[in-house]
Amino acid sequence: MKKDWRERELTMEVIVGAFIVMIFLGLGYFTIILSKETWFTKKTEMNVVFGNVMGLRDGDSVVVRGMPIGKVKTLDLAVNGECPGVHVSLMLDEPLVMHEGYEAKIVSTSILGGRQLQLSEGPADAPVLDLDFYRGKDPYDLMEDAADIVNAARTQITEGKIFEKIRNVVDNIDEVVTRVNAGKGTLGKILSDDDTLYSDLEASVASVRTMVTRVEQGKGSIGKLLSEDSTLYDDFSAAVAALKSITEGIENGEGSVGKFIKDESLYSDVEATIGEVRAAVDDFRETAPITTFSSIFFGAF
Amino acid sequence: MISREPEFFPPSRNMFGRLGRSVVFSFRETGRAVVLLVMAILAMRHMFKKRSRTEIVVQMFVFGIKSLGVITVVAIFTGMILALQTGLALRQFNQEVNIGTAVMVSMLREMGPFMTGLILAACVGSAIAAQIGTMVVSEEIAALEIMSIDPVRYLVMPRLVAMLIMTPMLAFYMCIMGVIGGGLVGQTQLGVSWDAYIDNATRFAEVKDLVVGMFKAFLFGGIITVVACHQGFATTQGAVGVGFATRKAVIVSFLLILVVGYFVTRIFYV
Amino acid sequence: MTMKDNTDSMVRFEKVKKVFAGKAVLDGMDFDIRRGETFVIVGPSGTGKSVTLKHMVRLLTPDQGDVYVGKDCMNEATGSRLAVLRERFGYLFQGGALLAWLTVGENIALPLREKTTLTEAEIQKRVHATLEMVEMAGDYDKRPSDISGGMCKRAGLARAIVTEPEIILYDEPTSGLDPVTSRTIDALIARLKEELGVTSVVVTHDLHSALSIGSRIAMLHGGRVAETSTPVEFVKSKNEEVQSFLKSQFITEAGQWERDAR
Repeated sequence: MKKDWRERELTMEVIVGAFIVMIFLGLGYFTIILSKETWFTKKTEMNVVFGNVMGLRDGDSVVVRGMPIGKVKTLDLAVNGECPGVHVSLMLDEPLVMHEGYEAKIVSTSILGGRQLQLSEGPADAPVLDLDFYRGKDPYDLMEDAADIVNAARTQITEGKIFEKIRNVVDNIDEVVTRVNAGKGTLGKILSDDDTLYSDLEASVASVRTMVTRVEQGKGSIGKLLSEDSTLYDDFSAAVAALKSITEGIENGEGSVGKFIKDESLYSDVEATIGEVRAAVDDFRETAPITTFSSIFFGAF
Repeated sequence: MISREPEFFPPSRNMFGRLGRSVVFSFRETGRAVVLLVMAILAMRHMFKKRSRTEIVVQMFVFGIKSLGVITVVAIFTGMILALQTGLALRQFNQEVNIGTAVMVSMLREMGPFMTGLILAACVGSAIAAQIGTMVVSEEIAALEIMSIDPVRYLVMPRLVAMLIMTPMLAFYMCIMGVIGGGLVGQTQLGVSWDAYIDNATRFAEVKDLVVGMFKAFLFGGIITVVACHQGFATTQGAVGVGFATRKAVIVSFLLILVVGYFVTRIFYV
Repeated sequence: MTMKDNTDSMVRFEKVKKVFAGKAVLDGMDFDIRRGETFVIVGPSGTGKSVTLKHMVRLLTPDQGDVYVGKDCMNEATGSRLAVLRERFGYLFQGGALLAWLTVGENIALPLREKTTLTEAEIQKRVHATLEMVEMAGDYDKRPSDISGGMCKRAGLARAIVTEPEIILYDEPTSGLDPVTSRTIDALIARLKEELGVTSVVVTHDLHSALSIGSRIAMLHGGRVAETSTPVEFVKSKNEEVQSFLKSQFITEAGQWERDAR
């Protein structure tokens, strides 16, 4: 009877012991997996200096050609010294030969954060570099860039040339219309007497065109924006097209401005054009922030 | 002095008196629980004596191995639920494969220790409180004291040591089972292959998650044992008191597990 | 009285007062228990019999007054000092207070294993001898939940005496038992006194038991000792409380009360 108890105690001890050994084995195995250490391969160290690490943390992966080959070991801030910046030391699973024209940059792994360090070893035919530390490119900061774009757009729109220019166009066209309105009946006279109308119209068209050209070329941040936002661009294009057709009409009138003016459609054409340009400007002013942000975001996705 | 003398306080006349008294009493009980913890820690110097060793192993068997069944079931289903819920949400973005990370990280950091804590509070905590409460009522604690056998050393210390060891073990076991459960759901319901799941699961979890999770479980083990023992020793009024002590032990452990869990997360991850 | 007239005091209460819930349970309790005697404390429920017993081992501490064990004041003892004082006592609780997860034998071996440096063989020897003494020789491996109340009490008694204490305290040793078992327990108490020469303090409301085993009987009333006398004098007492208590158990002076022992 007594022995029974001893046996039971022994069974318990064995079971508890087995369980704990099992768990410890699991824990050990797990620790190895999770630390992503490869303990049995030789490691090489490498240093890269960045002006800004954008929240890179130790343990983040180092990627070459899309393949993780190591991780960030330490980050040290060096404000003084020969090379101010953040000294990032990397632990690589295998040695990496860097050539001239190498690149090291920090990129986001997802839009929700998470960083990795991307290395590209440079063209194979370039001379091999063996430096104590390599220079890293400052990271591309999505949010900062977005802020830049928004700011540029704002200055452009509120104090900058675009709004002014568009307003000039509108003013010009307005003036033409006023004149046409005022000179009703004596249209022919006004037009023949004075070729301001023609030049006015042409000036308007020119200014709109330069703007559109700039826009099309994608000059400046606002250009980038506009080139991606089709409605705004379409609005402008339509306005320009309409103006162009008027001018072309006048030009095709072969000097016989009177004949052209007789055409009832000119007046309404001009007025419609003004309306369109105005709408486009208003549209742009109102939707600028929204389109900016949404284009950034969708761009990011 | 673990056995308590019956106490009597004349009923308070007004609300403030009652309120103040309950505040003072709750402070006193907290203090007693802390003293009990300190005594149990001091009693740990006897831990490696043969009899204590045997008792600790027995308690580990009773708390740990006998809870394995319920923990396995809870763990697998917790993992399955986590995988299914996150999987359904992630499916909208074609990101089902990330259930691996979701299950692994949440099991390691939070769900593993937390669920283990709750299960042990419910199974083991209540059992300890009921056992010690019954011992108080049937004068067994008093008997131990008269025999000059320190109830803290004889009863509390082995339980505390057993729980401090077993809870992290069980929490880890729970994590593994949860991850396996999640993988099953991934494979059968969400079309995520086992390999992709495991690869994803191990990619984003860190050793820190594991360590902090185990540390949490360790604290929970201590909380459950000390609260249960304290409530057990505080039992009065016979069999009714045992029920009351058990209930209170479970409630207090639950609350403390939640609060302590939050603060540990706060300390290590913010 | 066959008891040798040894007056050195084992347990002495001096004006002990204890208040529970506003009611003085002990109110100036005074008595002196001498070496080797069997001191029986009787009285109706709620007169503080168990409370008195618990004061002797400092499970309760007096609000006023002092409890002495030998020459040592129990009130001031703490820690290891208290442990040493408590080692002089064996205490039989009402329900036996056996640890439920240990077998009867392990329960009895418990104080030896925890408090002494005896080898396992010696422990076994003493446990079996003690079990024999309480007539439970074959019950070593039974669980407390598997045995009757009377056996629990006997096992509890075995645990109380296995350390060979000087004083054994019995809290209601016969309550809740059938008369036959009660008499067995009584015989056991008497035998222990004879064989081991211990001082016994018995708390009971069972007068039959009190009269048969007691060297002196103390009647409690109102938190004090109303009367202390030998069993023979006790039944003749003119004290009203004693008389009504005697009557309630159908004991009269004319009585069937002949001590069988001497």
